[in-house]
Amino acid sequence: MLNDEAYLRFGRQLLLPEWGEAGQQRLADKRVLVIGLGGLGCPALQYLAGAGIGAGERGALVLMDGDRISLSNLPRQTLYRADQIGQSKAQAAKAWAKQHNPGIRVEALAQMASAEGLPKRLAGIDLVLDCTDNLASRHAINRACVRAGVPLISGAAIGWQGQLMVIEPGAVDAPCFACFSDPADSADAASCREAGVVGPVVGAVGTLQALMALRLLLGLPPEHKLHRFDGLTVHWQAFKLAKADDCPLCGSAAEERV
Amino acid sequence: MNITLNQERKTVAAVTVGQLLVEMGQDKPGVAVARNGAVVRRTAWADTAIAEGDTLDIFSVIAGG
Repeated sequence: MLNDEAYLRFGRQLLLPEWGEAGQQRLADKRVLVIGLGGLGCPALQYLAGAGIGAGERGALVLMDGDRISLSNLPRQTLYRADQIGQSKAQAAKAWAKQHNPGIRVEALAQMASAEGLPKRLAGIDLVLDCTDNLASRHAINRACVRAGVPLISGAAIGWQGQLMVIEPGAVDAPCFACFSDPADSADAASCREAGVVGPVVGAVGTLQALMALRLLLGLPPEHKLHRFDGLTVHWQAFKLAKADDCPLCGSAAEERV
Repeated sequence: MNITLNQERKTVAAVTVGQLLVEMGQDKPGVAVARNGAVVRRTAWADTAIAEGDTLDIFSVIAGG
């Protein structure tokens, strides 16, 4: 049962037939891990906290980032202020969320995601958002989520480009991140530090990660496409992405290679 | 052969996705390809034929955020 304040706060989303009171309760009791609290994680967190994730007895928003706030973050990492430079992003993001809604449970982990630490960290987690900034972390997070059977929303942005996909381990014919990008591919994808990034592009992708997260947690029909956004031409594309038989992680021959 | 490549009409000599990437100088790590709206996995590039009128998209896997 929602209390009066919850009815007032969440009224606009309770009106949605796909959402309602049952959906609100469902979201409140979810534990969602956001890894990376930069240009993707900031807008994603705003909408996840706004939607009421972690407001229930069982639920929580778990915020992981080992980085500290710097001046060059401020144009696109919209939760942070100039007077917070030098602070832990995880702690500052938690402080923002608690101020936004004191009724949600928020846990801050001021550390980077590591391949060794992730499996333990995924215990009890219902959903992960990959908001990190490098390919090695993305593969480590994908591997841990596929093995633990935890769904993952992967978003990325660089320059004027954005990409987004939903990974649902165990779902029929659902691809994982390694079906799209082979971990053996030696390319070291460019970082925003080297190649630059447009604030609203990374913000749009982070916002859509929150949308995909809410869709999945509300039980809306699955969506397994690779989405691309080009901010220069203002062009969206959605490509079919099949589970790869020869994926080194989730393919039928995976045991031999991993 | 006439195809649409990254939203532009192009005439190419390639008859497979793999040949197209070489022709375009894009046969390199970190590249992804979609043919007629579906991602083609790297291991299938050499064996995936392209046909007159196909739509191809060549792009990079990105990781920033």
